[in-house]
Amino acid sequence: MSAVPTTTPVPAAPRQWRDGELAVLLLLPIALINAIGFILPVLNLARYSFNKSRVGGGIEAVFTWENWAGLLSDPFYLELVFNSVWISLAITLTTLVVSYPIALYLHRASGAWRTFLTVLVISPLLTSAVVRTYGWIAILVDDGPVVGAIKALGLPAPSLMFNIKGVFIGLTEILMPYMILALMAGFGRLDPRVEEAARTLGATPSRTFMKVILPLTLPGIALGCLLCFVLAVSSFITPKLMGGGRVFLLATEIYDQAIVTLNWPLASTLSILVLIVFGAALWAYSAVLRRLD
Amino acid sequence: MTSAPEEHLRLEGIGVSFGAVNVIPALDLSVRKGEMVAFLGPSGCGKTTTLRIIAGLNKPSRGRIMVGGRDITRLPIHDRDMGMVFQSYALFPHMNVTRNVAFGLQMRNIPSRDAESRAAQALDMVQLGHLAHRKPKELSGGQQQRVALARALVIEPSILLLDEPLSNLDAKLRDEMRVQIRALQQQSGITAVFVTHDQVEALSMCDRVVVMRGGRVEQFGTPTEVYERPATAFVANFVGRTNRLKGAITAEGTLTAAGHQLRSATTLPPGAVEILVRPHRIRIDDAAETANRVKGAVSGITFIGDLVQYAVRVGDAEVVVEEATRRDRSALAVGDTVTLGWSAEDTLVYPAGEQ
Amino acid sequence: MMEIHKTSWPMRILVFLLFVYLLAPVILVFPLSFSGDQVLRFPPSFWSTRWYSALFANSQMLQAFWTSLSLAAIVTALSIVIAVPAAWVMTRLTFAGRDLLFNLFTAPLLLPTIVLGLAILIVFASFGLLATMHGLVFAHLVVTLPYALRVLAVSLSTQDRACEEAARTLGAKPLTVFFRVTVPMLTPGIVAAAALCFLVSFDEVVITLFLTGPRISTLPVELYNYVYNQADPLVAAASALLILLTLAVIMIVERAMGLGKAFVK
Repeated sequence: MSAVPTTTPVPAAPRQWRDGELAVLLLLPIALINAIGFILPVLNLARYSFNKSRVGGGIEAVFTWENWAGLLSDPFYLELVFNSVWISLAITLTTLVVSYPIALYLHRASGAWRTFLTVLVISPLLTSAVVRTYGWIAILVDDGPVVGAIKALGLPAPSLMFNIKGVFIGLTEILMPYMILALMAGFGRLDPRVEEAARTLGATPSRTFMKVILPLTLPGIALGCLLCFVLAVSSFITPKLMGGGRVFLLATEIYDQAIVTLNWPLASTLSILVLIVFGAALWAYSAVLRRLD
Repeated sequence: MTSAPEEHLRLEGIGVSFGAVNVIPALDLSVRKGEMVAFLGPSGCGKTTTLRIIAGLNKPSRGRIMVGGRDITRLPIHDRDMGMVFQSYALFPHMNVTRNVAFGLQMRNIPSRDAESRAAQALDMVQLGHLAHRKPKELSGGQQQRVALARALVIEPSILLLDEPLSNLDAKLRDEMRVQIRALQQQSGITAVFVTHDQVEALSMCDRVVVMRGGRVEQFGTPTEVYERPATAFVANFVGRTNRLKGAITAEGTLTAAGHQLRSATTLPPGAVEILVRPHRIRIDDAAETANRVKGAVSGITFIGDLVQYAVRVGDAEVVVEEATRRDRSALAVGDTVTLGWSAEDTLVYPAGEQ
Repeated sequence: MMEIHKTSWPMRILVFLLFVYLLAPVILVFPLSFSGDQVLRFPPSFWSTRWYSALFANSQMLQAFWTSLSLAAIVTALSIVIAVPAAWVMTRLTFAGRDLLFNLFTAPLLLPTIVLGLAILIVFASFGLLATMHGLVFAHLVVTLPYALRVLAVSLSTQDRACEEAARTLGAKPLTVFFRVTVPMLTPGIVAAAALCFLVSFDEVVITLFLTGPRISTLPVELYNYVYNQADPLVAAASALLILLTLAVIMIVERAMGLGKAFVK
């Protein structure tokens, strides 16, 4: 039996707070921080994308389509958007492929072994992206262990650093924990008995996977892909450090425009563009979910 | 028990509404000092809500609650002086058993030494003195339940409220706790309200039973009254098992069902009726003269140990008969023709379509 | 039990290799931090602790470390103080627009940090909050509060509310119930939320990059700048220490409530 609604005609005792007053009082700090640190800045961003830039930073409060028109007619930016989306998609799919076996294995593990492995999966997540990117730089540099191993096999030495390949390898690994956690959350639906039932009915392991496991885990896959795509599009540290100034993506361009070129209106416009890409990803995700239901 | 029953708790027109829906239309109830009253009914009948209203945990939309002649409707929960035992026991997981029991005393600003010795007494009362320093999660369900009881009783509340306290225990423990709770309540002479959906608990533990349905009181009476003279067909069905037969009362006032003419102690105006007879009040092939005698064919026999259940087809109805197992009973077989007999007093008649 | 869940050997090897890939950069920094080489090279040609000495001699790094530590501590304390009452309101009171508010308060988590960083930069520039401790605390709170609110709200909503009701019937006033029952029962949730806020604040780099300057800088930002400008094992030494610090915090959380519950919502 649920509680009676709080708005009953019986008046409360005089010294008691009404729920509404109490809520306002206790939510005031978080509401202020949210308003000043989140809502106001984001609304400003939208506004500045229609304002003029002033040389040396700052903004002139004049309405203009300049930023949007310039951005949408400049082949450099069009390619930037196209590249960012395409690379992020490719990274997302790669992350899915390398994360799925780990997630499935973790889902089936139990007890202390499972706890231990879960901690292993989460610990990179709690390690600074700078540290992990640095680790990748050490692994992928021209005279590093990977290139060395390839050379030792007598193959031509590839260049893995300061280009998109390195960014790809590093970012995939950095996104893996998110994907694994999202997949595992989705695997909650995967009852081992369903699998057993399929096997006792005579399905081969591969058929069981294709016909039973994969369909049941699709919601988790969709969630993981959304999460990783969103993180990939907005990733900044890894492309910046591993791209060596030769990899141009939306996020790095926003930073350069804001901090180096000091063109805030353009940076704002690019940010809004990122949000639009996000909106599209979210829309695609909910469309997929609707089809799954 | 009490020679001059004095009223202790009184609900006057208590009602609860969610928007336009009346969950409890208007409830009137009077509980005497020192008695234990059960609120019995199916889930959603409003029994827990009513209990929570008495405790102050829910607010009524209308009506008054009086305790010992004082209106406590607007009194905040912490000033009501109620001892409540929750279904989940609701022991404080971060406090040991003693501190759990002493909590209510501390809230009454009783010095901690006194509080602890009184808590220890209360724990002895429920035979848990040796577990005083355990944390709740180190106790079994039955032990937790007894701690919850000690915690509610130690403050010597004006009313003890019990919300389905036995529903999380296994059957055997439940039987023990029924006896223990009743004994504690009678020793302390405390007024108690007991919410349950289990008729055995209500009938065996309480002085009086309130049978509730849909936020209304169907019947308020002693266990015997409720069982023997159920006020409505719902009460008859909910409290104990019954056979239900469709019947009618003719214009001349004769009661008929399943092609037989029956006699009942109740008189009702002509029309369709429902006839209820308890399975164990029906005799099979008994020589004794009874008001009602009908012939039927045995269609099923279920042996339950101390009981045998016979399904007997009478006309187009099936009647269940229960009989204590006897060694002298000549073996009946499916298909045998038998005569069923029962008294007019055991023939409960209610207007049809009431339920 | 049926045996079909026995993972086959090829699958085990695959999972092992993927784990190696996942953990390689984190594990690698440990041997690398003991490198004796002048440049980033693996395996190092000889071992030494020179980069740890170099790290502890680098006053800029040390300064940044203390800034990060005090920043994270302040942010964590404020996050808990602000988020506990907010989470209580969200789980104990019913009022119109509650779910909407909850979504709004956790929304900063959905915004890419690069966008949030720029947005805060522009607003802070006009308030004169750039490269100040106040500014950093405020900006970090924008990111840590949603985490704290979520973790605490989950903890509070799974708490047995009958315990609070029992305390009320036993004579405790609402404020007494809050401090003597609700908060003690919430302790594991508070520890988890605090650890999470600490790590998020301590590791935060993207937003902080927009808001720091020569006057004030945090450790992740300094490390970023260092890696951006040169590649030597100094950062490996710093990273190794950071990872150990992170592990310590993780162990506290694991003790308090189990990591799974804290992160997989």
